[in-house]
Amino acid sequence: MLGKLFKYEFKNTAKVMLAIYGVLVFATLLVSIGSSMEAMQGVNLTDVPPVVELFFAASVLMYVLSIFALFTVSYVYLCIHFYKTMYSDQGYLTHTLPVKPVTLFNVKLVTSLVWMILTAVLFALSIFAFLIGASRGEIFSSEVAGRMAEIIKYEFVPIFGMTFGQFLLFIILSFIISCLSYLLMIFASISIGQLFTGHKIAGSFAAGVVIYMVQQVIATIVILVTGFSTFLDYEKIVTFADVLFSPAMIISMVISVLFTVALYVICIVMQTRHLNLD
Amino acid sequence: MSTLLECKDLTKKYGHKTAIDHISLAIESGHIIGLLGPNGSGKTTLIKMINGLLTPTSGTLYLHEQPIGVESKKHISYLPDHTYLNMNQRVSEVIAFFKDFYEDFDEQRAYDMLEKLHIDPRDRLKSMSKGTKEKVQLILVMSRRADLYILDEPIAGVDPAARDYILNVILSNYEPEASILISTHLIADIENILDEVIFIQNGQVRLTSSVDDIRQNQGKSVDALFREVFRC
Repeated sequence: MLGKLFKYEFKNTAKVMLAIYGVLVFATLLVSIGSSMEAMQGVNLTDVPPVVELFFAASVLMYVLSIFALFTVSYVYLCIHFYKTMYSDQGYLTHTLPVKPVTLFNVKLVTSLVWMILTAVLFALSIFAFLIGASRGEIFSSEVAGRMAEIIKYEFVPIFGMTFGQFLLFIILSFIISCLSYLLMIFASISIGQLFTGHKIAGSFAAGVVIYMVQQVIATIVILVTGFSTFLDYEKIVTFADVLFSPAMIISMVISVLFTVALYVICIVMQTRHLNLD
Repeated sequence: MSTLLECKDLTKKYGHKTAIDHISLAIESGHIIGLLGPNGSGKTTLIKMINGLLTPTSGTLYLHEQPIGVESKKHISYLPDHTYLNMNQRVSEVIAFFKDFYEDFDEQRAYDMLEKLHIDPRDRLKSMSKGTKEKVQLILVMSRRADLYILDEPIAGVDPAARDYILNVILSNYEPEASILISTHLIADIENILDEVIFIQNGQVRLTSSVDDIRQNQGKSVDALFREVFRC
């Protein structure tokens, strides 16, 4: 049953998500062509023709907009999809399936998370493609590759206080927790909003504002209590890791994880004990 | 005949408003029951609680002596009073979805009914009229071999000519040991197929009776009795 749920969830969201990705791929191709054209003109000719300049400027503008749209539209779409399939008319079908409410929710959350991760991967690939165009492929030269390997091997640890692999793992974990936190914040707001009779969307907004305020108040208190001690010990800060794993940052991260878990629990309680499709 | 569905002291409140007020009733298997009442009487609220779409404020609900949950959803086939399918899907895709999730779904039965109604399975739901969408939903619901069919206003959105066909679909596609709970305002259209009626008003059960009893002992049709009981 779990496999079937994932199959339909991906199938139902794929159309829009792939369309969003398609726009980015198109914009990346344009900007790569535009940047490589400008790079070539810059080397071969003194003056870059206005047409090339215009094309490059337009492609960069479209690229920046599509990058912005990639994350915002994906995120907004996944949240709307959650609302539509859980609490609007389609929710009648979703919640009469012979599946545990927890399983239903987990499938929606994991599917949304996978799309967010794919979005980030696509973003990274897009930036890489842009760099290839801008460097006219020199990014692949043995000189650049050698220098990169040198930085990762010898210069990374003294600056960052950790190996490149550890840093990458930290970034990936942080990204996944952030995605979960952002998704759960909206999912929990929507789940609380459905408790309201007649004004469910307004209720969801109100719940979202309250959740956000609670999160900000907790974060401010944590910074006030722990932040000062970290800054007072600034002489001890030598590498990036000293900042990253300072008491203030560790407490912030722990609270962030606990807050995400709390949002998840709220969602599950709403699904299992307070479902209200009136 | 055994008790299929049982609700004990069931209550649902929305803030200060009580939609269902301490209802207790039992539904036996093998019956067609009309859940009848004026607008806002609590019919749909009761139906949603039986389907697990609303959490009761208090009281209990059992199907086959098990609380409402995953198991009960395997045995209840529910038709809501509005469209609940993804309108971008084709009819064939929805049939595949039902086949994947409901073990008791009879795919062939669904395609046979679609053919009789001249509905193309390749059509998207959004391209269909309101009445055709309702027919598709009814076909999906009645293609399950469920123990309890719950139909909320199954004939409200279709023309009078199609009503007879729909009632025929309902009658010819349910298992003899199964029960059907039908909620409707159009009592005259369905009273010939009913075995029992439950009159509900202001969230309370006003009357439960067999249709034979109403006709023989009171000498009235269900429609006439309804008009008498709920006269404004």
